[in-house]
Amino acid sequence: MEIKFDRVSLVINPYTPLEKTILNSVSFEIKETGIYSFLGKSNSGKTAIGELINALISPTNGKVYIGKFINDGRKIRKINRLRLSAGYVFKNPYDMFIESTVRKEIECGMKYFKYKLKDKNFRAKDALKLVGLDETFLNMNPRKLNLRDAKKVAIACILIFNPEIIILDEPTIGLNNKDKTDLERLLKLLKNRYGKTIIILSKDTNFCFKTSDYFYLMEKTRIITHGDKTLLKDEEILKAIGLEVPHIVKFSNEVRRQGHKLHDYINILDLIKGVYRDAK
Amino acid sequence: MQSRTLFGSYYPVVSIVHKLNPIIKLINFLICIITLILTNNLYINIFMFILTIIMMFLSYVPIRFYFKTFYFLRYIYLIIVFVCYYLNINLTDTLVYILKLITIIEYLKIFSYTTSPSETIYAIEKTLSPFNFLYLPLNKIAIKINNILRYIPNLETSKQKILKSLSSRGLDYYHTNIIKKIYITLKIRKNLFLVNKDKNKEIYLCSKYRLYNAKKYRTNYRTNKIGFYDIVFITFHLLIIISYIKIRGIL
Repeated sequence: MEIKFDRVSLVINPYTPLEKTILNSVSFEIKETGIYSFLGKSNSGKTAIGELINALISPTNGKVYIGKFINDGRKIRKINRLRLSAGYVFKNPYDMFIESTVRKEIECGMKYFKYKLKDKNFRAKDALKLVGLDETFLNMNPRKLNLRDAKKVAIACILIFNPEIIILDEPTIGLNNKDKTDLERLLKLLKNRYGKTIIILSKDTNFCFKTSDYFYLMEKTRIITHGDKTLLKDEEILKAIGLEVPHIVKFSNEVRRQGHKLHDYINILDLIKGVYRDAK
Repeated sequence: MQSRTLFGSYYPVVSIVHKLNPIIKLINFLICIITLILTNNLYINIFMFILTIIMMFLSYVPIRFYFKTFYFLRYIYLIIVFVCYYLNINLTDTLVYILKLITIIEYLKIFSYTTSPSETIYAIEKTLSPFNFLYLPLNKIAIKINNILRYIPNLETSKQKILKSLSSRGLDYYHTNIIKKIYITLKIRKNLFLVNKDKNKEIYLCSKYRLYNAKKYRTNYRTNKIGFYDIVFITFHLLIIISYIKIRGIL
C-alpha cells in the first residue's frame, strides 16, 4: 500500500492567539514495503504523521494518499477499511484499553471491523505469542498491567486484524533491552515474511538504526532530510537536530578518527567480532 | 493535538477582562447569579445579557468559543421553550428564562476563560475569608472548588484520546449514527472515569511529595490591585442590584 504526503500542513487553533503549526508543508512518498523511521525531538510533528495516515485527524492544507483513500479534510467514505489496513499503536497504551480483560481487548478490533472468523480465541493467543506474552495474560485486566506488558498488548491489539501498514508511536518507551531485541525480531519477521510496511515514530536512534531501512529526520514541523542507514552515520546532522548518535556509529567514527580501519556494522555483536578480527 | 475550545479551560491572552482583579470578577459573577435568580424583570435580564456580550468581546476570546457552548446546549433551550408553551407561560417570561440561562452559562465561561487556576483559588479564598472566624478549612475548600471547575476539561481531554484510539480500531464516534454514539459513550464511560481517577491520584501524590500542606496558609506573590476597569465593571453590577431593589420597592 502506497503512502503519499503532498505538501501537507497542519495547524491547530487557527486564527487565534493559541495558533500552533504542527506540520509545515511536509511531502514524502512510501512505495515499497519495509521499515521506515521518522526521527525527531518532541513537538517535531511525528505523531501527527501517524494520525494523518490513520485518518484520525485531517490536514489543514495538502493531501494524504493512503492506497486508494485520500485524507484531505473531506469525509472519507468507508473510513473503517482504511483503518483496517493501517493499524496505529498509540504512545500511551492505557489510552487504548476499554475492555475488562486482555482477551476482550485484543478481540475488540476484530469485533468492530466485523471480521468473520470462528477461531478468534486461537487468534488472540497467537497475537500474544507474537509479542512475547503467554496465555496467562489473557484473563488479566489490561489496565493493571505494567507499562512494558501494556505496550506489548497494545501491539497485539493491532496485529490481530492483520493490517498492511503498522504505525508504532514511540514503541521502545518502557521496554528493556531484551524486549527491544524481541520487538526488533518481530518487526523484521513482519517485514520479511508477511510483507508489511512498518512506520516507526521515535526518538530512539539506537533502536531505529538496527531495525529500519529508511529514515526521515524531522525538526520543527518539517522533514529536513531523508535517506538510508548512511544518513544516521552523519553525527553533525543528528547533533544539530538534538538526537542521540547511535552508539555503534559513535564508536566506529571514533575508531576511524584514531586511524584504524573498520567496516560498517549494525549489530553490536557483529561489531565486537569485527573489532576482534581486525585486531588479529 | 486537540483544539483548546473546551469548557472551562483558561485562554491565555492579554485583555481588559483578563486584567481584572479575580476577587472583583468573582463578586461580579455572584451578583450576576443572585440577581438573575431573584428577578424575573425583562429589562434587568436584557441589561445583564448585553453586559455579558460586551465582556465577551472585551475578553478577546474568539466568539465562536462561546457560541460552541450555546450550540451544544441548544436542545435544552428548545426543551425550555416547549415546556413554557405547554404550561401556557407567556412569551416575555419564556424569553426571560432563556436569557437567564444563557447569561449565567456564558458568564461562567467568561470567568473560566479569563481566570487562571491559581487566580481562581486566590479569589475563592479571599471571598470566603469573612468566614474565617468559623475556623473553616478555606484553603482546602478553595482548591476543591477549583478542582471541580477544572475537572470537566480534564475529562474532555481523556475522552478525546480514548475516542481516537477507538476510532483507530473501527469504532468511529464522529462518523456514526446516534445509536452507535450512545453505545460508544456507554462503552467508554467506565474507562474514562478510571483514567481520570488515576490522574487525580497522581496529582495528589505529586503535591504530597512536594510537601504540600492543605491545612497551612500559603503566601501569595501576586499583588491584585483594584484598577479603573474593576470599578467600572462593579459599578455596572451594582446598578443591577440598585435597579432590582427599586423595582421590588424594598427601599
